[in-house]
Amino acid sequence: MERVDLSFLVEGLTVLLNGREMVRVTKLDLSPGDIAWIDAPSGAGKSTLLKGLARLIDTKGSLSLGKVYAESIPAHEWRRRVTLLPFPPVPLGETIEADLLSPYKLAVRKKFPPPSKEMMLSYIESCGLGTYGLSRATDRLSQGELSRLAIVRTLLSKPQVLLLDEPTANIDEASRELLEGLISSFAEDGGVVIATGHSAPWGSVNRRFEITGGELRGAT
Amino acid sequence: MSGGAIPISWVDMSLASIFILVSAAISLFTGLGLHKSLIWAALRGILQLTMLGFALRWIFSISSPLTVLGFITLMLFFANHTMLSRVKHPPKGLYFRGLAALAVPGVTVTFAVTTVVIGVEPATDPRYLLPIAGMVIGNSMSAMSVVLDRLYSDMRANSGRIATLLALGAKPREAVWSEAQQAIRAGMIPTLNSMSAAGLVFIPGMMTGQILSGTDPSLAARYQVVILLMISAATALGSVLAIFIGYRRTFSSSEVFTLDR
Repeated sequence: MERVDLSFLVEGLTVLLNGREMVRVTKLDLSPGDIAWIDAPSGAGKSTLLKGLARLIDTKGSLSLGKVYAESIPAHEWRRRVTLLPFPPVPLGETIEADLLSPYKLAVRKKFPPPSKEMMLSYIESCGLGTYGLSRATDRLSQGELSRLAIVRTLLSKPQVLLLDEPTANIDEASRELLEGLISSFAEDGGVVIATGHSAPWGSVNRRFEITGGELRGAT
Repeated sequence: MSGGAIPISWVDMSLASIFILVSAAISLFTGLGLHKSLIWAALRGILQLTMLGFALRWIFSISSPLTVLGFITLMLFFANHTMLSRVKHPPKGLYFRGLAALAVPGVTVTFAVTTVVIGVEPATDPRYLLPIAGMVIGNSMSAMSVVLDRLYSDMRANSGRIATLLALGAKPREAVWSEAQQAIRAGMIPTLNSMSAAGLVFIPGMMTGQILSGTDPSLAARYQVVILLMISAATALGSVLAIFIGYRRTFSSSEVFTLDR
């Protein structure tokens, strides 16, 4: 992976929904290894902001990763690098294995080798789905299990910036800790994480933000 | 010119409508609520076909290429209107694209049948051109409206899956491809059924008409084969075009999915 000085920089960004200005970010500068948490009540625009950062909705302003400006590459290429996991999670394959391999069926990852079986098994073990194996049907998973599977799928797709919308909703205490382990090791490998939720449950979070009055601000 | 068909008088036509009235009465008494639309559709059908009869008689008598082409253009506009009116909550900007998606395969296939396969002289002879254009365009219209309606309803139902795929870096086409496959299958089912059941379950309408007016059944069968193949080709092409114009309208130029707005 091309992870040389991949800082994620947002400057003077306005996220637009139906042409209306929803959320503003004056400046957000995250370095590899950062885990940022955005704490805000529902309806404050957390999901909208994450969608804007992933270019799933339109924005005005400057968005860059490393030396690459968002508008200099196609949206699907940006989304491969800056990947949002939307809430609620949905399965993308009939079995756990098919689901985990689904990102590698996309043209944008044609040049990247898909994860090996051993790799997939070790990831699903570390999020507590190990007893199911790879051939378990995804429609037999509970909502909480599906959330964890979706996070593993997104991690295995190897983004450089991981955007998680409400990752700890629908998840019990034990799974929360398993997830924190996965997220921390992603950050330690040089990834950037931005997650949202009502309260930051992870000790590894090192940057805290909130959205007040339609603007992203640092929290104390 | 009318061959051997037995004439039908106005009295005969009223007799034929008795059965519709009986069905409407049954619907009225059982409260199934079909009678209004049944009667209304029947009246429309009677009026439109009667007018068509007079219009075709007039067009055949003057036999001007411009009138024939004008008639086909009118057909295309009506077909496009009907096609789009059956699609629930379509995105904006489908009108002219829909018209083009109907016209390109419809006109190409119609002229291929009349000039290349049948060899009509002159190419704009309305006796061949108009009925064939009607069948080709009408069948494409039905299939394409099913394709578009199914495409948008499936895309709305699966918007969470589409959003997740896009977030992983899917191109718009990749994100909606399984919905597109379902939609095109749904649109093509009637055409596939009519090809595989033709001659076994029902005698197709055009062949029935030719046999009634005295054409040799095996010649009528050959006409029907040509028409069936060409209708199926136009329907398939139209459905593919409907998918392409259909899904593109739901994405902005920056690959933002806009259907759920």
